[in-house]
Amino acid sequence: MLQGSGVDLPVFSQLPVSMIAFLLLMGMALFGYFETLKASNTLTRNLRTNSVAGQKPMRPHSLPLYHGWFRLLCTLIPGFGVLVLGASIKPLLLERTALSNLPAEISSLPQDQLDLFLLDAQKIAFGGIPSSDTPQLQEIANIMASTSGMLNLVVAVLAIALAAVGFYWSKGKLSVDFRARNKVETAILVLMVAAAALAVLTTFGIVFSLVFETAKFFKVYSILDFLFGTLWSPQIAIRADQVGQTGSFGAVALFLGTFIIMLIAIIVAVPIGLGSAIYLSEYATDKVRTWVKPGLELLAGIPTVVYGFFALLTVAPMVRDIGEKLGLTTSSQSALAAGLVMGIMIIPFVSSLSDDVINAVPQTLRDGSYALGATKSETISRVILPAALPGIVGSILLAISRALGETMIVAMAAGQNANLSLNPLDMMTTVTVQIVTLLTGDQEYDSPKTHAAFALGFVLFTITLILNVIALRVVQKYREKYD
Amino acid sequence: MTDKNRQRNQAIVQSRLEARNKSETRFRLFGLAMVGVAIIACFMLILSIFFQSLPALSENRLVLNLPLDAQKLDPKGTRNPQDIRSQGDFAGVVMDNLLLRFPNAEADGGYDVLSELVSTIAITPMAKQIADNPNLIGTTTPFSFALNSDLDVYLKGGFGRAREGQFRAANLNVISPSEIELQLSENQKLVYDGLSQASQPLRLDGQVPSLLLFANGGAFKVTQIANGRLSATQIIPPKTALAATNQAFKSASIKMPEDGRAIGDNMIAYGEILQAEGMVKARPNFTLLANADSNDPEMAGLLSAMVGSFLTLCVTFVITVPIGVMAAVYLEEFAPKNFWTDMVEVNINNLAAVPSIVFGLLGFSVFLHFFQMPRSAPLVGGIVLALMALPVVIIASRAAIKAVPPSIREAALGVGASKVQSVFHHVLPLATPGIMTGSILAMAHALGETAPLLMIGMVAFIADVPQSLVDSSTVLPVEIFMWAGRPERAWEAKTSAAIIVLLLFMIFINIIAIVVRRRFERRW
Repeated sequence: MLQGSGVDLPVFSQLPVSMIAFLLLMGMALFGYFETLKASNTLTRNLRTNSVAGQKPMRPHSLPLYHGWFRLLCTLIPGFGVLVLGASIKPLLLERTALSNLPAEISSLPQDQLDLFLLDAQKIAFGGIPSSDTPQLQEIANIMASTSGMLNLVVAVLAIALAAVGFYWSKGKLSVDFRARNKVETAILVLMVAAAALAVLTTFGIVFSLVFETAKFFKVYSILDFLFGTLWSPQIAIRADQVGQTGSFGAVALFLGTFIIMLIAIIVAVPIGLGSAIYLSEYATDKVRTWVKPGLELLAGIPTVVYGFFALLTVAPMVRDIGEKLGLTTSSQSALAAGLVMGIMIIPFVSSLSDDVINAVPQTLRDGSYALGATKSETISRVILPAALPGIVGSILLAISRALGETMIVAMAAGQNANLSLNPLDMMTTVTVQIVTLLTGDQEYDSPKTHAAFALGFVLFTITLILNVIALRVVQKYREKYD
Repeated sequence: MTDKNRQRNQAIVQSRLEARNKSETRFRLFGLAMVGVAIIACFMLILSIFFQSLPALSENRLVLNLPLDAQKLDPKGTRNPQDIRSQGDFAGVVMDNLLLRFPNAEADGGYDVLSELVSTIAITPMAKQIADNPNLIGTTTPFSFALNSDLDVYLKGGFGRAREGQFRAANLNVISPSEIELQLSENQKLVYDGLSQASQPLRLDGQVPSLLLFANGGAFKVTQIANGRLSATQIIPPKTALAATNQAFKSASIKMPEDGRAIGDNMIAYGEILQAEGMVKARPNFTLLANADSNDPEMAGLLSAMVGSFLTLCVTFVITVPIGVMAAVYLEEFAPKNFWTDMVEVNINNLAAVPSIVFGLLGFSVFLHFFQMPRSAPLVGGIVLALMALPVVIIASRAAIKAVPPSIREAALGVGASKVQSVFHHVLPLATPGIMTGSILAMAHALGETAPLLMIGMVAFIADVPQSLVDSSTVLPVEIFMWAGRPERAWEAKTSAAIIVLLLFMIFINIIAIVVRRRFERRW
C-alpha cells in the first residue's frame, strides 16, 4: 500500500511515466464503468420491451450499477497490482543493476562504504544532495537513471496491457444472470478485512521492528549489563579502535527515574482523580456535574507539549523557590516538577474511568446500605468502593501505563542527566527522554546508540502492554458483572 | 429483647452519631477539595500560559524616515532587483539615519549598540521592498523594523523595568565631558529599586539594580548614590547643555542587575530615548502568524509549522478515516465471532493505549529506514499519526455503528437488500455523525501529538514554508518544543503565544465536533 502511493524517492522523480499509466488506467476504468452502465440499462430496457404482455418482465440479477463497478474493478485491480508490484521490486532491481556494473575497485570496498557509494549514486540519479561527486559515481548514476526509466516504461506498459485484458474480458460478462453484485460485494468485503488487518499489521510492525533492533543491540551489548548496569553514558568513542567503543548503556538509572516520576504522578493523580470521581458521581448536583466533568476531560485534551512548557516555566521555578526557602538544594529542572505536572495530566484518566465504574455499581447496593442506617460516606467507603475496586485498579493501571509512556513533559522538565538518585528534587531522566535524545539529531542508523533506543522502547512497550492487558481485562470483566 | 438492651444500643448509636456525621462532612469536603484542586490546576495551566503570552501580542518597532541614497543602495546604477539585493548597503542606510540623531555614537562607543538595534534579518523586508520597487531609490520613505528582541522585552516591562520617576536637581556640576554630579532637591523622591540603605554611599556596579537618568535628550548612568547626591556617567550626550540648577530629570530603574541580564544599560538608554522621541512605537504583532521560523525571536513566526501541521493532518485524515471506518464496519457487522476476531479486537484496544513514542520508533525503523522515505516529511508524519489514530477511530466508529438499532438493518434486509446494501445504504449513513465526531476528535489529538514526530526528524529548523508532502517541515507542537528550548528571553512569550495558537486550533476542531454531534446526531 505504502509503496504503491509512489513514496520511494526514485519513483517520485520518475513520476511522468507512472503518472501517465495511472491516468490511463483511471480513464479506462471510468470509461468501462459508464459503458457497462449504459449497456446494462439498455439490456434491462430491452428485456422489458420484449416481454410478453401480462407477464412480469425478466430482470437482470444485478442492478446496472453493480455491472459497472464490476467492470471498473476488473480494470483497476490488475493494473494497479502491476504498478504496486513494480514499484516495490524496483529498488531491488536497481541495486542489482548498479552492483553488477560497478568497477572492480569500488565493488571491493567494505560494505558500509559500498552502501554510501550506492546511496550517493542514487541521489545523483534521482535528485538529492550527494556527499561526494566523482566520475565513477556519475557513471553508475547514469546507469541507474536509464535502468529506472526503462523499468518504469516496462511496468507501465505491462500494467496497461493487463488492465486492458480485464477491461475486455469483463465487457463480455454482462448478461441477464451474471451475479455482478455478489462479486462486487466480495471485493468490498476483502477491502474491509484488509482494513481490519492493518491494525493487526501495525502491532506486528511495532513488535518486529522493536525485537529486530533490540536483538542487534544485544549482540554488541550484554543484556544483563543493560538491565542491571548503573552507568548510562551512551557517548560512542571517537576512534573506532578505542576500548569500550560502544559507550555504556546501564539503564537502571533510567528505570529508576521513570519509576519515581511515575510514582509522584500517581500520588498526585489518584487522590485527586478518585476524590473528584466520588464527589461527582455521589454528591454533586446534575448542574455541577455537567460543568465540571467536561472541565476535567479538558485536561486530557491539552497537548502534552503544553504541559511540558507549563512544567518548565511555571512549576519548576516554583518548586525550586519553595525548595530554596526550605533550605534544600534544588536544581532548576527536577523530577518533582515533572511528576506534579504529569499527575495533573493523568487526573482525567483516573477520574473518568473511575466515574464510569462507580456509576456502574447497581443502585440496589446503595439502597441496601442506606437501609441498614449507613451514612453516605460509609456506604461509599464500605460498599461502593469495594464493589468498584477492580475497575478502579484497572483505571489506575491505565494511568500508570500512560505516565510511563509520557514523553514531552519529562523531556522538557525532568532533565537529561542519568542520575542514580532517590531525591525527587534532583534532575532525573526517563526511558522516553533517552529514546528521544538518542534518536534526534544526526546519527547513522546502524549504531549501538540507535539500537539502544529500540531496546529501551522494547522494555517500555512490554511493560505498558502488560499493564494495559491486565487493566483492560479487569475493567471489562468487572463491567460485565453488573450489566 | 428487653427495653434495657434497646436503650443501651440507642445510647451507643447516639454517642457515635456525632462522630459519624462529622466524618461524613469530612469525606464530602475532601471530595469537593479534590474537585477544586483539579479545577484550579486546569485554570492555573491556562491562565499562566495566557499571561505569559501577552507580551507577544504587541511588538516595538523602530520607525525611520529613510532617505534612500542611490549611491549606497544601487552602486552600479542598474536599478536591477538582483543587483540591489546583493550590492545594496541597507544596514548602512539605517545606521546613517540613526547617526543623525546620535552624532556622537561613533566617538563614544554607542555605534555597537546602535548596530544591534536592528538585526540583519529584520532588515531583509526593507531590502525586498526596495528591490521590488527600484524607483523608491532616491525618495524618502518611511520604514519600520522589528526591534532587537531583548530591547523589545525590556520595553514591554521585562528585566524588571520600573515605572519612570521624575525629579529635579538642586545643583549640578559637570565634572568632565562624560561625568556629572548632582544633588537632589529637598523633598524630591528618587524611584530606585536598590535604595534600601539610603544613608550609606551606594556604588552601582553590575551587581545591584541599575539607575538611568534622562535629560535634554541625553542619558546618564548613575554610578554612586550618597545622601541624595548622585554621580553619573554620560551614555548619550544631551542636545543642549544641562542647567546648573533646577534641572529636571527623568529616571528609569532596572531591577535586574546588569550582570544578570542579556541587555546592557547602554542599549536600554538608547531604547528609552528612541521610545520617548517616538522613533520606537508599539503596534500589534502579526509576525507570529505571518512569518516562518527564524533564529531571531523578533522575526520568528508559525507559518511554516501551521502549513506543516495542516499537510500532516490531511495525510492522517485521508488514511485513517476510510481505513478506520471500513475496519469498524467489518468488525461490527460482518466479522464472525471467533478466536481471531477476538484477537483483533483485543489488539485494537491495546494499540490505542500503546505509548505514542513507540509509534515514533515504528516510523523511524520501518518508514525512514526500511522504505527509505524522506526525513521530516509531512507524508511520513501523517502516516505515523494515522497508525496512531487508527485504533481510536475504529473504536469510535464501532460505537457509532453499534448505536444504530437493529430494526434498521432488519427492515432493509426485509425489503430484499443484501447484507452489504443494508449496511452501506442504511446503517452507515445513520452512523456517520457519530463516526465524524470520533474522527474529528482523533484529528484534534493527532494535531497535539509531539513525541512520535521527533523520532522521524520533524524537529528541524525549517525557515521555508513546505510546498509539498515530501518537503522538510515541522508541526505546531514540535515548533513549541523547539522554541521552549531556545535561550533568549523573548522566546518565553513567543512560545506561550504559539501554545495559544495551538489551543485555539484545537478548540476550533472540538467545536466542529460538537456542532456535528448536536446537529446530526440521532438518539434512538
